[in-house]
Amino acid sequence: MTLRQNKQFVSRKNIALIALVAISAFALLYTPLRATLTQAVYKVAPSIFGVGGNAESAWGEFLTNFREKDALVKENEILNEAISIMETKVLDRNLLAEKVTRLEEALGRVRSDDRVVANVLVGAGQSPYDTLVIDVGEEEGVNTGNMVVYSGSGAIGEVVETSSYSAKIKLYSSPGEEHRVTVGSHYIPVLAVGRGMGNFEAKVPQDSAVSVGDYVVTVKGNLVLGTVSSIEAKPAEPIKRIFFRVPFNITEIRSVEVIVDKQQ
Amino acid sequence: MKIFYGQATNQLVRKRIIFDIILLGAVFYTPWWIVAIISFAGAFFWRPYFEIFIFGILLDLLYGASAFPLGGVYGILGALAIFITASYAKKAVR
Repeated sequence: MTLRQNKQFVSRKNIALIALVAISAFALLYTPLRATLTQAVYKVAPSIFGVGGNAESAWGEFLTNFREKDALVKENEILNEAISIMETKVLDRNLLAEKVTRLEEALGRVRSDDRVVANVLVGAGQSPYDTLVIDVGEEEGVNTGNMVVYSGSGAIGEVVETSSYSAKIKLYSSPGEEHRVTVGSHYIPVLAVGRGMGNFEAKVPQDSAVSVGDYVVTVKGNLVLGTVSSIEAKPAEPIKRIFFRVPFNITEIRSVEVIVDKQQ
Repeated sequence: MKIFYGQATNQLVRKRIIFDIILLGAVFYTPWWIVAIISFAGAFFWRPYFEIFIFGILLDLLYGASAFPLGGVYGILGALAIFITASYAKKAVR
């Protein structure tokens, strides 16, 4: 290739690059076009994600065949013990929930909501957006803005985009996301800022009674957002920074509940 | 006008298609940083690797939304950054 031909190739390459970036940006930033493309992609994407999930579970089953029997028996014992502890805890929780319901009835503030259980197709950590993709969508009544909870009372995020049979959830812990919450037994109101992968940060006055292990609860819906994991306080500063995280491993979430119609 | 490609070119095209399929699988099943590493390898070995923008769009359509910062175009921006970085890296190691 001569120098002239090479220059022509480079200039053509640059033109093609600019055109490609411009077309791509237009396709994604022009909302109606993006919505159409997303709907088209999500016609096939859930089944592709499903194939991955099936392959993963088949691989897990295959590996189980090679594990030693003794190890499995021991693991079974540990798991049974964990179940009995959890059952006791749930019993206690059920009693408390019953008490709360009775008190709310007495105050005339009965709450009820419709929840749709969904399987997680794509977990947190796979996408650069800190999102989850679930297998329920508009057909099940899921709409943009619906709150998503894990294990009954752990708020994890809200629906940002829906298609017929799937929806995208933006986690509350997405970097830069801000939420009004209350911390600890004194219900100190703070502004929680997401730090990604289930982590949050908030600032409270220096003399606030906050300690490690305190629950952080959402103002809207009274759902658990996390527990305080560490506190950073400098005597010279009027505020202290508290760091909290969701009380479960966000990468291991396999199913969630979408609150589709909350009546307060 | 008919264009005849040599066997070596055919092999290169075949390898590139296989690489594209691997990258497509990675977009669906692996974390984003693995996709970024594979994309960088593609952009480094094949010049110009314009497919990277298709995968960028796919990543944005699959996982992003307009509600995210910058209009949810991290995939495209990442693809552009990898494309340019890989071009300079290739020039630097020549």
